[in-house]
Amino acid sequence: MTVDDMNETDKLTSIVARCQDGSEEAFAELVDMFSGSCYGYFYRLTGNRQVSDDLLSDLFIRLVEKIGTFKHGSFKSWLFRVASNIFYDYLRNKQRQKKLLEGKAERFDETSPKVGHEFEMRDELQVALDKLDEDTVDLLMMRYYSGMSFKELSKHRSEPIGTTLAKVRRALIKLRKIMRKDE
Amino acid sequence: MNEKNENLKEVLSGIVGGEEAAQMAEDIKAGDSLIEQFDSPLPDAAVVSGIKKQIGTRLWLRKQQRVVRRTSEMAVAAVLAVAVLISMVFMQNRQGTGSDLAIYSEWELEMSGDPEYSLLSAKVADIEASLLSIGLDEDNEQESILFDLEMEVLELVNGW
Repeated sequence: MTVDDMNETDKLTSIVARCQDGSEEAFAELVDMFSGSCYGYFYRLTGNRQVSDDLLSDLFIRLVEKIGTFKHGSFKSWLFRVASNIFYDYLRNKQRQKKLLEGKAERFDETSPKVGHEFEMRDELQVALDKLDEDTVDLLMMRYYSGMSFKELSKHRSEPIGTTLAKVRRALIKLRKIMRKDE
Repeated sequence: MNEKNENLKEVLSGIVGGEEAAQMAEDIKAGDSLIEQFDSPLPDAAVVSGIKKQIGTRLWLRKQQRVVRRTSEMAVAAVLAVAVLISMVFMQNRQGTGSDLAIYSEWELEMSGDPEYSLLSAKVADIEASLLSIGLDEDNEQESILFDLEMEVLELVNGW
């Protein structure tokens, strides 16, 4: 760990402590520090700006309630675990809505979030990620944006480290194949 | 964006053999650099500012809730203290009245046929009369009367 990393860690520790005391200013600093990476994570998972805005907002509001439960360890990893829970809550709600709309296919097509995709800024990576299943995209993006080590990632996913490594490797190979970057 | 603060080869070598570990590390690195080629989408400034405002509102609400909770806790504590105080005063005033008397009367009715109880009651009545006479007749030799009464009480207690 470099001196800059240590300063950064100390700064973050102090911000988190002030957040735990209910400082609005500290929360604003936290938003400035992490809104970019968290938004990137949500956007790569959903491919939808509006949904990502909502999830980002949900994340920081939940943080106000939950920050008191953070004790020690990497705050960034903890934050992304909360973000991951928010994404899976969103998925569950979406699936529940989908079930409710079953049998009303026409109406469902009109209300499906995928309709908005044409209007999104979709790069080649987003197109490729859309071809992978949600769990795989979550795994790749969690690792990319949170900076979690394989050990942390496997702990978060409650699976052996070898399984996580193998999944990440397989997913990255698949992604390269989809994007035809492996030739 | 991934900080990669781990030695990938070291992690892998603990799980798979040398060559396979090297191949896995290469595959993962190639995938990572592919993702890094793309700009990460960023939220609009308006969204970020909106989130900060929401947080401010939420924090204000939490503070209000805390104040309300503390106030209601204090109110409950005050009500409890008053209730305890009232019940203490009530208990003091209640001695020898109301339901206690009703229980006593029932007991007296049950014991009325008991000869020992009748004897004891008669003795207590005598003592009561003697005490009253002390209060009413100040010319009597009170000390000797009190002594006699004391003896009577002792006899009564030992005999019972």
